[in-house]
Amino acid sequence: MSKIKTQSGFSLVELLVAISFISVMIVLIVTVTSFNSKSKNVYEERTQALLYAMEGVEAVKLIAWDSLAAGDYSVNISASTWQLTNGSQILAGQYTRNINVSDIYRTSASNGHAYGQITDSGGYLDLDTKKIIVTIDWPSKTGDDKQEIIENYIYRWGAERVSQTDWVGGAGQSIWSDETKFFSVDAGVDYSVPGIVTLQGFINWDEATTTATFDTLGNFDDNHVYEENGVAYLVTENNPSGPELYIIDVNNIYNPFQLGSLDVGDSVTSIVVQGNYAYISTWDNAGELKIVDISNTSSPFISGVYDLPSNDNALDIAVSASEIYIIQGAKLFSFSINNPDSPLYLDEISVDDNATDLYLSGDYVYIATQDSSKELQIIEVTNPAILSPIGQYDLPGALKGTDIFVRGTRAFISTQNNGSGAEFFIFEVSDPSAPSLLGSYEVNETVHSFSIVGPYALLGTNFLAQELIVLDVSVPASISLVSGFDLDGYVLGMSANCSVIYAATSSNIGEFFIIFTEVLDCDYSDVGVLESSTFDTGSDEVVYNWISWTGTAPIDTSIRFQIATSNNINGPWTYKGPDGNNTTYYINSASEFINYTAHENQRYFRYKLYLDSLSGWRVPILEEVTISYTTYP
Amino acid sequence: MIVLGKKIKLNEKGFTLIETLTYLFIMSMLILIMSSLMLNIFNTRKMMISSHRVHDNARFIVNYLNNRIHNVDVIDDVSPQPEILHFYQLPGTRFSISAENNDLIFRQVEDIGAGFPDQSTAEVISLNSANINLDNLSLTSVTDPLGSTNQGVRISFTLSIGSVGDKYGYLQKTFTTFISLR
Repeated sequence: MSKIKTQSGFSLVELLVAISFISVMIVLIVTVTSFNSKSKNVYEERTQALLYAMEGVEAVKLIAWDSLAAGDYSVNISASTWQLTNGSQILAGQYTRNINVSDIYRTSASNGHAYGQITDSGGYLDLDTKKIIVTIDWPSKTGDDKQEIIENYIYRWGAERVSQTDWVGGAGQSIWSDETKFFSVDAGVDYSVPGIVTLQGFINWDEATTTATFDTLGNFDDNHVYEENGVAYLVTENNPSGPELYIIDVNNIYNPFQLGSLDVGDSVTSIVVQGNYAYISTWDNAGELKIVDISNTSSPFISGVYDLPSNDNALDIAVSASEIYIIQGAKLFSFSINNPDSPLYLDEISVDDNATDLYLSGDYVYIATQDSSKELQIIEVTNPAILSPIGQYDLPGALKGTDIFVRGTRAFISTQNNGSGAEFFIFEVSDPSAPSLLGSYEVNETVHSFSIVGPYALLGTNFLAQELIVLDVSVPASISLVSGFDLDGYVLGMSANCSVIYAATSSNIGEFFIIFTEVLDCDYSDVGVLESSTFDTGSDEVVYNWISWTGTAPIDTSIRFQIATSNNINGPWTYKGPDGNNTTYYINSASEFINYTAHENQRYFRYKLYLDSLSGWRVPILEEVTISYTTYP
Repeated sequence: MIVLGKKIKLNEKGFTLIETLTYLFIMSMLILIMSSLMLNIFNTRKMMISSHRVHDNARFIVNYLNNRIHNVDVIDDVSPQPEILHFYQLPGTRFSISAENNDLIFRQVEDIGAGFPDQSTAEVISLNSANINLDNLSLTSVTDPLGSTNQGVRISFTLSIGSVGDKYGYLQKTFTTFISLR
């Protein structure tokens, strides 16, 4: 009975609770549904807006640069091109597109070119960068006003470069077509050797004599010499009780005298001097790479040491502005010398057999090895931390390379005695991945080392009667013997300029020789001027970015450039320097900004090269000149 | 009788007719509302899936083409046949996009010198999903101010999903954008 009695219907309160609970559920569901529907609309509208915004950003890239003054624009396709109109536009009846173009300021400027960080206030107007802001506004179906913004920086993009590395084609070319030719030249310029342009000179080898010798302590062979600005740095094999590094003043070629010396502790094989430091490769198993502080030539001291992994002897070293390349056994190592006292290991690469000598030229290290199947190897060092082999050449027979040198687009390599075959080879390396043999010379003996001066190769041979021979290598296909010298010992390393040869030898009487060609100034021209052909950049919306060159300009010599531009292919050509006047010159080899306003929007250009030598026996050599320019679009 | 009386005594506190009617009315209303809401949710979901598929495809296609075309060197021909775009990257890689059987087809091959491009060796990549149809691909070549042709291409295409009779699953949208060579 109690069971039955408890049965009852819903009370009003229960009903109200149930209804309110359910209505809350309903409200929640309705809210979620309407939110979903809104987000679907927003997603659809945003996709559409994004496409319109992207279209705007892309279209601006095909607008003539000079039309892009700061302001608000719209774009439309008309006659297959994008046309720029002032003011915003309405797309598909609801999307308002506004393309805003604004100017950019940067923190630094040089010769009219702004560079460095973009800055909000102050700074220098960068005429080659614009900021593009595309704004899309639309009233959304959801009831709100929505907005989508894309920002982009555009540049006069795709800088182009034009380089000249060869001038042998001769004068008379008005319009740039043959890359080995130029427009005009005066009598002072010598362009006969491929890969370089220099001043005319003359060396009379018949008059050459030894002017002085210098006896290093004991009877230890001198391995190498490096001469720079009147100071010779001489390194020898291990002298257990004396120095292996000598610093000698050779300004007076008749009376060299010692400035200082250093006991390195083991045999030194090679030396390169840069700034206040000398970088040497040694046999020292506890540190094959040594760095000597020579800021005070009378008391040099070892400021840095790096112990290469194996105990093989390091045989040669090359130095660029910020890296060292050194060979040890069958390996090439690269080091960063941003801090010269503590070289930082970057990379190493195997060359398969003993490397004997290396030469750094541009982005490539050329290595002479004892690998009979690839005596010449070329390693690309564009990124010094990633050494990669790029080219090689197999000399005939099983030869062992002894020395290597590169000038312009030519590589020279010498080898040990090759019986009845040649020991001296010349290669064309304009394409480092495929060196091609131009010529060779049968010396009949081992070549210990060699040096290239003007059109001559000086070979240190294993002949007892002619330890030093001079070859004319101006025509590689027919190399001819010019002269020979009888020294007291074999020439193991040398450094030479137009008229003076500094030779490190195995003689016991005086290991260090200075040989003078008795031609006081080699008759080098004081000045030489070369004017290039006319180059067509293809657009009258063009700016000229920078000029750089590679080559050597020893003390008392200079390599200078001026640029002339015109909108007429026939000129006139008014040559100007960095400040826009004809009295200044581009002299920085690394790269120098070309004056902006003086050459802006001038379609054609020429460069003028000025070579100078005040000393008469030193000569500037230009190997390559590059000019960067940008056209838009 | 007492026992019988107890057994057959009626429960006088049962549902009244009014109570029953009210209950039935409220319950039916609730069921109606709930089911229509459920249907609504289901349909919205269907619409959202369609919408997202179409717009995701559109974004992917435009981004993919943007990426490819920004990295090529030359747009070779914007319409050798209707609805085909050929472009290539130096030295030897060649690309094409074309509308085929309601799909946007991307091909990439190494140039083997046998015409352009040798399509038979190319792997066919469809840029849209299987359940999306692509129609009306239209390509317009754009010339730069110096008069160089094929410096950019205006691309317009229509994407659709579902069958036309399907009120909530069907969606058709046309997309237009422009991509320059750089």
